[in-house]
Amino acid sequence: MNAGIVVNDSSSLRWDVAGLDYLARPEAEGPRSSISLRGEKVPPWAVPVISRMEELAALPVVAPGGSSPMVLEDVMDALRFLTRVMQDDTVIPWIGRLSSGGLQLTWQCGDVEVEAVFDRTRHERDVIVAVGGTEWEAPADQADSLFATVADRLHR
Amino acid sequence: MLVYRLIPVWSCKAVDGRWEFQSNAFDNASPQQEGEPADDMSVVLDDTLAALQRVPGKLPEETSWAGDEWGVAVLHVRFLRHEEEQEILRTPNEGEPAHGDVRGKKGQKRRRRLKAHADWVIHPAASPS
Repeated sequence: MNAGIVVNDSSSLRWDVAGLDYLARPEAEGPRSSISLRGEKVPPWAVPVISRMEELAALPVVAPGGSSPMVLEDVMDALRFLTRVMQDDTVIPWIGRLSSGGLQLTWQCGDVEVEAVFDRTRHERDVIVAVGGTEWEAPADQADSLFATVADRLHR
Repeated sequence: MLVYRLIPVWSCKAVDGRWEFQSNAFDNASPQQEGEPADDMSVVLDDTLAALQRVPGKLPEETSWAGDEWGVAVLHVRFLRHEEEQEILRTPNEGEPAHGDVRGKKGQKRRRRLKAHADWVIHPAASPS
């Protein structure tokens, strides 16, 4: 039942993910559903990132007061952003779930913090870079250069 | 006056063997039914809790859907009202007579400010290892 995700535009993933739709409705396909990664150039961050997304998708309660299932488009937006900005030695971001079904990615190294939010339900797709007490922000689809300003400080 | 926010470990990053809550821990709830407000963050009100002779540190064990994977953070009502334009509502429910809601928009920047303001009352009992 796992369907491959194909995105035919310039921001496509350069590798293939199958079963990603399971993240948006894990209860529908049962506990044996899983996501597989295909391709010769699956980046090293993809396995822990997808594993964390599976964990988050399976949560019965995200936060007090109610939450929505993960939104597949937000997952794809997050993966596309990671594909663009991650290098092999970039630290793996912490990933959290928003009650809307969106995702939050956070990198923290010393006094540098990068927080990216992918939340189409609330029209939030922004990246904030904080160094010390100063913050800069950009829409996620235009934030590659902003991320690059601190990328060399986010190495493992 | 204070309010308490229950926070699960999946909204926390493990840092040096301790749970550190992230800004998504201060997200509004997602409406489950049509007509429900979209700007409410569920909390427990300090004054009602005290009147009931209860303490915030026991909220994880006293809350039916919480447990060892949940901790409690505290926020000041004055900060929420005057610096973050939030409204505090008394919304007792069947499971929690001291329940309240912090009503108001909470975009990414505001969630980050709430995170910076908040402190743990009690960390989640579950080990971060």
